[in-house]
Amino acid sequence: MSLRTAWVIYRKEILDLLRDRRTLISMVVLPLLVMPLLIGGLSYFMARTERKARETAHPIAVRREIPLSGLLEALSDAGLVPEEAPEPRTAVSEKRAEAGVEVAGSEAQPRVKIYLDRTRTTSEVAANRVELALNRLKEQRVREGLHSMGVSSEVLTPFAVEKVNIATPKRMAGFFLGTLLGYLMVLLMLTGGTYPAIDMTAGEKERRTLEILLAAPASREEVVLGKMGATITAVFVTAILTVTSFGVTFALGARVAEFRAVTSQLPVDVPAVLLILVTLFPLSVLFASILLALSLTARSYKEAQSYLTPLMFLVIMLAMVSTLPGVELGPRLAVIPVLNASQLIKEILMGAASPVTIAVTFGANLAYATGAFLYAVWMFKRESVLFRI
Amino acid sequence: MFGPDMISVRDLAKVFQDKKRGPVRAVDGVSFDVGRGEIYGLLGPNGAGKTTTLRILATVLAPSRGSATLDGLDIFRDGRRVRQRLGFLSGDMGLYHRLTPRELVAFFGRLNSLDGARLRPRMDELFSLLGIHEFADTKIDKLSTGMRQRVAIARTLVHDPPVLILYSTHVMEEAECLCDRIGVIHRGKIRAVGTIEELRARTGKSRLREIFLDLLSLAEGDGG
Repeated sequence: MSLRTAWVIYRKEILDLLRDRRTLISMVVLPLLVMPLLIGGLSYFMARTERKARETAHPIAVRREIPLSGLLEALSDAGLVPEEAPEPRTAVSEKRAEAGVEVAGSEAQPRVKIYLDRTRTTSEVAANRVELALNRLKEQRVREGLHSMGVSSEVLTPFAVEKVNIATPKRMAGFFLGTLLGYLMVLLMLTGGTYPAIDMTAGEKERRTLEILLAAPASREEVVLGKMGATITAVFVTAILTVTSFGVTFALGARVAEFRAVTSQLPVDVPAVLLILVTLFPLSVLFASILLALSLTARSYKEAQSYLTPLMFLVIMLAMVSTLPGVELGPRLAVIPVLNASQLIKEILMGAASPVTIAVTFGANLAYATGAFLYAVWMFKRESVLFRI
Repeated sequence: MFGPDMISVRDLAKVFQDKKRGPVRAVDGVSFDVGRGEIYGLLGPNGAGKTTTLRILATVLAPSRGSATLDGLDIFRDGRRVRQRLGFLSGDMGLYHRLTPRELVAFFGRLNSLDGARLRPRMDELFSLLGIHEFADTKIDKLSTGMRQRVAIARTLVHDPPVLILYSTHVMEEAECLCDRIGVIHRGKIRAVGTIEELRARTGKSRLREIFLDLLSLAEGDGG
């Protein structure tokens, strides 16, 4: 096998790819835009919704079968707008009120029900504020009762309780952003390699260029090596651009008020970024090999796309596991491809990745990548695949 | 009349496994020779086995049986050297549309181990001969069919191969004018070989189209 010939093929494939609009979109435009759009958009809408929920005077439907003194004042004091309504439940379901309050039971033992619609954030926020106002009212009543009996209100707090978050702000930010990056990264890498892989295999069959290439002096191994190199490049360039876009988004985002709480805690850490990229290299080879081998079995672009859809779902599922709370990368999870990379990115950003899991992840992905690479080479030697009749 | 054999094919066969139809004999014991400087036309209807035979000669497919040499080289053992001596042009042209003619021809030149010092003058010569210079740096997908055909020819000839396989579905009259000898292939077997004159004498027909149809009906009469 001549590396020179593989290099000739590699250079031609890269030139060809750089002129393909679909590849450029998935390999360059998407990774560069997804991060700022997603993070910017999310932060903006989250901040706006939260502010709106906090500042808006929510209408609250109130029905009192028995009197509960101080109720309307307590709600008003909490910035809410209590309105008498015959059926608070219906008022909430018909969106005339964000939450409903119904006082029933007996005068000696009143029972208060709060109605809310959990599918609406504003309803949830309003109900929380109602609950808080009611608790305040309840506490005030208890204090008044104790006072009339001559008991100090200190009996209400025999001891104080305080929760202390020991996670450093960096770790918190790493957890939040790492989850996002870990998931998005593997997805973008796969989409970044999809079009190049299809173009170089099923695309060549469809355009009838594969036969001409195979009739040229290059050996099958050299052809695969050139194409594989180009696909790996596409996948890895996607990874580099995603990380870069992520870093730039946060560096610039730190200037925006809504971002600052999160971004200022995560300085762009060059060794961490390099470690992420090193970890992702075997995954790039694995993705490139599987994408090439699968799309080679297709006769046309469209057919290849339909073959790759299940792969996309599988990768999404594996990557999603890493977004679940409580998942920690032990040596066992570290051998599951895709999941291991997503999770490791998260742990690296949190500053919590152990050398053992890094090594196991790298080693496992390298083994899968080697297997997939050999499989792709084997596929390129099969006539029934190259010339499907 | 012609030099020693450039192509020699003996009892070549190719069986494909088809899921529905079972084993399909695309080529079934084909033998023929082509001398140096000779233009040999392999004619046959759709599915006769032409493409498979030519793909085997180009070492793209492996035969199920038989042997073949190209310029004295065994096509199975010396695949790379055989391909270096071969220019393969199919009817579809097989061009990379996002490349320019210059990039495409250079790519195939490099695959054939032509370096810059030999590649540039060779491309210059071919581009002048075929009138490609004026669109040499325009992307192929912007070119007309005629221009693309010229690029495909330049691509096939860039390494100056001693053997050319030109695969096309062109009119039979072209074969009549161009070919020194014609082989008629049908259902994977060679049914007749000879010069146009020999085939005329054999069938009593004058035009190649009539000769061809006559030979095919004879083959059908033989039981395919």
